[in-house]
Amino acid sequence: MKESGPDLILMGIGAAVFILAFVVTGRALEAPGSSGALSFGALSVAGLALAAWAILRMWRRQDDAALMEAGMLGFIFFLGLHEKAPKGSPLALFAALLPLAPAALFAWSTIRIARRADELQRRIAQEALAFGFVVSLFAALAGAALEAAGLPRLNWVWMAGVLVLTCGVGMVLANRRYR
Amino acid sequence: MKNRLRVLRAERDWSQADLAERLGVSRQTVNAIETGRYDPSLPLAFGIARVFGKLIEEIFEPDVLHREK
Repeated sequence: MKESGPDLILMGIGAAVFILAFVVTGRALEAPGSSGALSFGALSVAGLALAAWAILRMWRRQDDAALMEAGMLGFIFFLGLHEKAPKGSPLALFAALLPLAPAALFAWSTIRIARRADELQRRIAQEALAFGFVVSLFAALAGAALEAAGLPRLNWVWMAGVLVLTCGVGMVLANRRYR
Repeated sequence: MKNRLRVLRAERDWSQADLAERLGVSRQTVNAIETGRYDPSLPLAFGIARVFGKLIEEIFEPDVLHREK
């Protein structure tokens, strides 16, 4: 995990470059006659390639914990990015589907961690999932109650983030118990 | 449950990581068993006994006071 620290930072830098260049590309495409869409498009591809290269390095190292973090971060980074592209354009469709790639990485690495875990690590994961499930359920019920009381409608896609976040917190708490 | 893991390990001059590798578990698991925060499953307890060449009862001892509470 410590070994993959620089790769995680590299992935973050690549993703940040991609997002910034993607937003500028979207704006350039929307403004007729404006130049620079191609160069910023190329920059966004370079950013994405950098992030992918960093993930590939972690993959080769079989660092599942780092891959899981990379997947979670990538999903959070890319969520909602389609709103920055012209509506209905291929760019918007690409951006809408993009979070699925880090989500798949997250799911795959989570399953691999679960398969390779020893009995204590499985218990820790079990406690973390129980914590995440209960807290997320409570958050969903609270959200629904607030909505019923007249508060603005929530975007329920964030429940996935809440579930991942609460499971992460549960993981930290359970790990502390058995440290 | 009490255990003599730390003593047996020290006698052989093994680190927690050495024992973990022999048992095929993480160092965290060995540490949690040693400190009594986690009781191993029966297969792992047999594995520990085999690694040290002892019987399970020679390594693990039920915490009678705790069980009576």
